[in-house]
Amino acid sequence: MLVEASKDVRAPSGKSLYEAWRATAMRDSKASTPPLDSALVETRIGSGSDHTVFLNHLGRPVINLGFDGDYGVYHSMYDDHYWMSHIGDPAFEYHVASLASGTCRAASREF
Amino acid sequence: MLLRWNNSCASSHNKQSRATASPSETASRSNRPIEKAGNLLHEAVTHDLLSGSPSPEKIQHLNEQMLQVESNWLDPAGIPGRSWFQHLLYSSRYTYAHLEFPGLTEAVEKRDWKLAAQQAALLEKAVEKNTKLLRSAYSSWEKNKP
Repeated sequence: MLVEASKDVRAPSGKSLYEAWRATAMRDSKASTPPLDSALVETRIGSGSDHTVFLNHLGRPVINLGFDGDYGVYHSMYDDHYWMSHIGDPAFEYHVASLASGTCRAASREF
Repeated sequence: MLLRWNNSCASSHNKQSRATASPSETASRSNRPIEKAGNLLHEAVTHDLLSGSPSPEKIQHLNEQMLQVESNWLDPAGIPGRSWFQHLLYSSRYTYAHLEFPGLTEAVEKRDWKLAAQQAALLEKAVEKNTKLLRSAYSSWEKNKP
């Protein structure tokens, strides 16, 4: 579902989210070809974030969507809305792309 | 949700055998009853969603059944030593790293074969329960054609 949805969403770079995702996955794995669609989503997410209670204790399906990049303020007093709106994602276009990929498909196709 | 669930179902079961092909590639020619049941339901629902609009009540009923499938992967007793973690398929190491079939994997690592057999039996029961539920979800979906 996520892979299909990512083809309909435009990443801030102008490419489709799907293309950006494949390129990042290829770079991260240092492979010469992008991974198969079926290998794009990491299904073994482990723990260490707020999803743990939903998945491991309550048995609810979870999805973790996000963009990565230069960060450096994680868990510091500077990790706040000011940082995000001035440095991290000033136009909030990455936020919109994340939201769109997760919710548009769910809302438009399945309900 | 349904597509995601179906993929996660397929991939978690492929992990059991470490299939070399991807979940979607193996799913269509799978002999595993739970994958067969999942694919049957998946195809029927996908077809109906694309060709018409099933009633909200029908979708609601299906969603409830899907949530029940997810809940059926829980063991109320939790995995050995960490009772708060109830999911039989997905968990994590103490480092947060991913860990699949946590109860079974940790028992095998400890070479505790008795515990491993108990954990394998729990998994088997959960798989059987969900196979039945998927089949019944399929028949109730097909029964209520508009």
